[in-house]
Amino acid sequence: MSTVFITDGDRPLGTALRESFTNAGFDVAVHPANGDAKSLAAAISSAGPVELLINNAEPEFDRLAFEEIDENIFVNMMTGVARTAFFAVQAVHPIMQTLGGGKIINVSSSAPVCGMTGGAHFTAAKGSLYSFTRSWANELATDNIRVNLVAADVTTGTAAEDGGGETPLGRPVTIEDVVETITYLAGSGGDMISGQEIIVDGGFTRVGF
Amino acid sequence: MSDLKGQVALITGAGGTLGSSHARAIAARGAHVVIHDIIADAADAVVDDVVRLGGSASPMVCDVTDRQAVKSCVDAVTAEHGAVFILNNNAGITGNNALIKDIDEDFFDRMFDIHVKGAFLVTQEIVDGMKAAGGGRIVNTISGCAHSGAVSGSHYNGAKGAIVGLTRALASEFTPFGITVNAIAPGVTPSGMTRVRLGEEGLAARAKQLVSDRLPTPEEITTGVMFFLAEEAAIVTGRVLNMQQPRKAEVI
Ligand SMILES: NC(=O)c1ccc[n+]([C@@H]2O[C@H](COP(=O)([O-])OP(=O)(O)OC[C@H]3O[C@@H](n4cnc5c(N)ncnc54)[C@H](O)[C@@H]3O)[C@@H](O)[C@H]2O)c1
Repeated sequence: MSTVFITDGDRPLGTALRESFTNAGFDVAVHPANGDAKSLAAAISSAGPVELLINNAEPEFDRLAFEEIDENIFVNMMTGVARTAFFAVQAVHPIMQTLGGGKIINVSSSAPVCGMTGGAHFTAAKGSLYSFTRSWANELATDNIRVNLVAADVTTGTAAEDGGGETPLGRPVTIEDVVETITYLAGSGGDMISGQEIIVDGGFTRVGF
Repeated sequence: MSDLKGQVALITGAGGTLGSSHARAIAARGAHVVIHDIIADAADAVVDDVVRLGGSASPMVCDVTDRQAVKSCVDAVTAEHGAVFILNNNAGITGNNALIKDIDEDFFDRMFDIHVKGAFLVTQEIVDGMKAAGGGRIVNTISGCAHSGAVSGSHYNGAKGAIVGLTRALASEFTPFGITVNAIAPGVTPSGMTRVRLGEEGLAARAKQLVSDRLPTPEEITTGVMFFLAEEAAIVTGRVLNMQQPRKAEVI
């Protein structure tokens, strides 16, 4: 039985991913998105054969004017998203090497692409994932590890949300929409896709930008 | 040209190769340039150089990760020269081509602190003055690697990606204040940092991968910064100018 490892597995998207992969017959392990490298390494090494890592840090945050974001808020956001993802990948890499390959999916947002007033901390943190995705896709390809990004514009403040949740496709994006996209990349359809980003936004990002 | 006369520019890490090139060009356009670096001798040498060329410059020495130090330096600069109109967040360290398995917590934290928190803190300390003065230009220096994913250290690339996010968020947020926020993404250019990372031989090998068969000069990278500073570029914001050159097809 292979394992799916999900960071931030208790918030809405994490919960939905956990249920979906459990129903599909995987063992699922979760860990909080707290940037704790040692605890992540311990959890991942005892999680079984992790063939899919989902870096799903989905932090709640307040929309704040740039001047109102204090250093702690900024650093906590970077730690939760970037540091958690980085050290989860570092820990899962040797396991996937042993398994002959694996997949990593980084869950981000459209904010680093479109910008976001009042979200400098969130946008910076989620922006790191775009470049991590490209870098790891390159560096880990020889180990048959595929790394992609899915931007989930559902629960966090995003371009689509700023548009009142309306999308050009006529209905809001749901958690299930995002789970389906991740499931596709996790399946054989995603076997030859690496270093790419898919923004699940109902077409919103392409309107007016 | 002296179209930046009376303006103040702050360049972090300007004791280094790219920052000092930007400083000379901006000073040549008439601005007073604050040469910031963590290494006092490096900052002083660039100040001397700018002044020798007929420009106006002063040093600022602090660690960009230290909020108090940045604040007192920026306060002193503003008191003496007035509000900063041009900010280039350029200070940085090399990822040293490290593979993910070899990047320890200290190296990761240093990378994100200097690049991301550093840009965040310096921008926060200057932005009130910039708003009060009615506008400004912020140019963040990221890297072509943040787009291409080239191995230079994934912590380095990730930190630069975070600055892309910051650039786009602040572009939206600062537009009502007449402040543009953009980024340049240089390709490999011989510099303090890339000599450490690649060595002279490694740099020569990089040049051979390019159709042009040569790496850019710092002055050519400076052209990207100057574009965003042009008065006519007031509507250009939230953009990344990728300055990587075309590669030869056979190179993988
Ligand atoms: N040269 C290239 O090929 C290249 C390519 C892409 C991006 N860049 C970026 O360009 C910028 C300038 O780099 P460079 O190539 O001129 O290298 P450089 O090493 O010559 O200059 C970097 C400067 O930053 C200073 N610095 C480092 N840590 C600091 C800190 N904590 N506080 C204050 N100053 C600090 C250093 O003392 C140095 O003078 C960096 O952000 C780098 O990542 C360079």
